[in-house]
Amino acid sequence: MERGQTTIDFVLGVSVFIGIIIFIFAFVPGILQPFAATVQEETVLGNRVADGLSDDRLASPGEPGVLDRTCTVWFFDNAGGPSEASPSDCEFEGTTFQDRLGLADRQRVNVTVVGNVSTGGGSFDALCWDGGTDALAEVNSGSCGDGNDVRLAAGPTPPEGTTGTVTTVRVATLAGEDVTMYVEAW
Amino acid sequence: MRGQAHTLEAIIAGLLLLAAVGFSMQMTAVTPLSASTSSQHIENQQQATAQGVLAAAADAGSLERTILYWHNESGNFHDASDVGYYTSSVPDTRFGAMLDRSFDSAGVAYNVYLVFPSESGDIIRKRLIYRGVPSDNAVTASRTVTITDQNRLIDADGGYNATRVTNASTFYADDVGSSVFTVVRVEVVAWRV
Repeated sequence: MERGQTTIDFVLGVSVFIGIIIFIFAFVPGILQPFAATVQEETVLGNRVADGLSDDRLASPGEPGVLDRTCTVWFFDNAGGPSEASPSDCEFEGTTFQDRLGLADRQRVNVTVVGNVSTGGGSFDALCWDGGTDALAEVNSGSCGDGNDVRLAAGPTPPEGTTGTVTTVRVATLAGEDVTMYVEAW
Repeated sequence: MRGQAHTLEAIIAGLLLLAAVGFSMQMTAVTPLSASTSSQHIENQQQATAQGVLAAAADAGSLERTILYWHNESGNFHDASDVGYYTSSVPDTRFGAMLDRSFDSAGVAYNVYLVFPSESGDIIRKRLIYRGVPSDNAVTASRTVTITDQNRLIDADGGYNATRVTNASTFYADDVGSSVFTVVRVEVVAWRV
């Protein structure tokens, strides 16, 4: 006790110091978090596929954003099936869905076309091409169940769980209606 | 007194460490691809959407009809507000409906400007739809439309009026060409709110 240093002072100083040290060790690794690369490749892939589909492959390069009706319906009709050569008058070429979009095997992409073709509705619904009336129809309106109706969606289902996916949006016009095309890449 | 100096030394050392961490925070930042409303990916999607809407409207002929959606007697667009442009509503044309579908439902605000030359050669920028000053992360897409002397004004219900655009006394654009009335560039500025 001759040294004039009490236990209380020691406890106070050391506890403040230790507390600050623990706080720094817990907090500083978090400042590097913005620089951690997450879904870099999928962002570029989604943008490339979406631009390619809406401006080039399903439309003609002279009129970007105007989708060709026959080629678009053919593309979605033959997206899930066996390999088949693309029509010669369409802008895309290749035999399978992955081939036509220029994807590697490990890259997964899901393309969905939604829009609002029913009068009075304001929400977007998945669309299909009604072969009977030769027009666009919404999937939940009931007129998409026939054999010659083509669901305007292609690609594998996006995974549930913790895999990060990147969604890309494009607006185009198909058969006189403006449609929105979602491309999801993972 | 020496005892309290030891305590003070520990506290000052702790403050020094915190100051060092605070200083190093200046070097970190939000990167363009961080998840926020100003992410570069989201801005790219907004610009592509605006371009797609303009392309769809031009293909349907609705851009021209929206430019000519003018009420000659009152000198204003049909059903526009008193200030001369649309604020909370959109023109009752297909272009307005496309904008409403693509942007309003996604929480994206937008302004639409009409840019055309005046008779004296200046460039006039007229508001068609105005929703406020755009944020710092706004994107623009534009498309050019030609108006000829033979075009007629459009009525409120979408039908053709009898008045040709050259005879419309209150029309906002001047006749600057011989066979072409004027060339209007439609600009859509979109930003996330």
